[in-house]
Amino acid sequence: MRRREDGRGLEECRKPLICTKVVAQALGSSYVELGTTKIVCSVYGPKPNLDEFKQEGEIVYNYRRAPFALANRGKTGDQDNTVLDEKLAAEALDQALSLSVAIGKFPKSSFTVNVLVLESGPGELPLAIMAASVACCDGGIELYDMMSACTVCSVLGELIVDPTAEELQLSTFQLMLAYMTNRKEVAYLQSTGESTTTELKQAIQLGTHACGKCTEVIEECLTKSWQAEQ
Amino acid sequence: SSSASSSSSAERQVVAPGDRLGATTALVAGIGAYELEGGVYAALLGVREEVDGDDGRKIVSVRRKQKVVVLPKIGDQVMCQVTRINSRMAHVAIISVQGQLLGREEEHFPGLIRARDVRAFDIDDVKVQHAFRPGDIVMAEVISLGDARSYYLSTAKNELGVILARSAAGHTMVPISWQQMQCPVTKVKELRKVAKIDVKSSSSSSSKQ
Repeated sequence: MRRREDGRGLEECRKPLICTKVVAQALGSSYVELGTTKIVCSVYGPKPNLDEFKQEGEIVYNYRRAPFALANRGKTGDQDNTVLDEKLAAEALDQALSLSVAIGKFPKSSFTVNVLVLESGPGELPLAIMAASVACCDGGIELYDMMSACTVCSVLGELIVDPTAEELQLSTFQLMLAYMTNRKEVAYLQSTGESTTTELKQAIQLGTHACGKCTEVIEECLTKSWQAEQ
Repeated sequence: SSSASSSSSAERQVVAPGDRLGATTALVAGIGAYELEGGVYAALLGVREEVDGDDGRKIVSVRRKQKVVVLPKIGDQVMCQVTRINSRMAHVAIISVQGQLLGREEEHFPGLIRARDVRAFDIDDVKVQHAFRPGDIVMAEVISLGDARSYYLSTAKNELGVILARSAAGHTMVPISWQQMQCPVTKVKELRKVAKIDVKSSSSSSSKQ
């Protein structure tokens, strides 16, 4: 079995570190780490949504990087174009997580999910999706399922899961997916680059399998958080 | 995963969102659970609880120990503070739902008590200024989700109405009947729709009913 530079197998993803209740004044919160990438997520609400009458709740996602989060701390113009735009990230969070939140249970209200990236890195967006999912669960927002996410990319014809920055640089095809394990539903899919249909299908399969592993970590974290409450 | 045992708390089953609790043939989804394609699943992180339902199936719900996301539902009893009044209605800010406080001011849901919902009889002749004044704390019941701006509330029942009010002089008033409160210092009587508090269950030695 081929080993990558950091010793992992091709299909092996790193285990994220996940904790809850890190922001005391928030309704719910989480802190996640994957490699050097670090993200804090806090959820506030419910606030009355006075703009229009809605039978369903509304969630507003804010995605921000701390000023020290990026390795290159120059002005916006100096950032290279592989850095994810904050507004697009918030939209991606919205599209992915809206499938897991039971918004029908919260009429006329709105919640705010604030994602703050403390240290940026590869796998930032999938990590943010997991952070937001855990923070919502911590806050008591009813969810259909917990959501995991990961990236799969193709380097020299081989598919690898949870790539490092160097592996991403060399890849010709990247796929980011968000997956609800118990429901067996892919919630969000984003791909760039060139691939064959077979490669795409295989990448999705690898991605969902890796997400399953991440869900195990999430469940462990939730169990611990429950026991700590008692 | 089999059903939890009824005794020791150490054996109560902890479930997370997405965990399958059972089939709809045997279970009905209660609070914190939902139904999908023949199965009942958990929607919250908490302890699984079951009670017997009406049709032979059990109602399964997921209970969290800590603060739950609280939203006014139809039939809930809410405590609110009157913010302003006009001839047709009283605007209120809902500060507690079913005994659970809504913490921050931004989380206070706006509500509305229309003249016709102030009391149960003579509803065409209600004068709102003889029922509520701005600043009063009122116990009310949610009758409708209302519109974008407010929940619709009612104080028609005897046990609903003003529970705390200050007189024009600024002192907390004492209720003397279902429609009058009196300032203990100036002895001036003011009109309010007063909530009838059950004498037997209250600890104060208040007036005879």
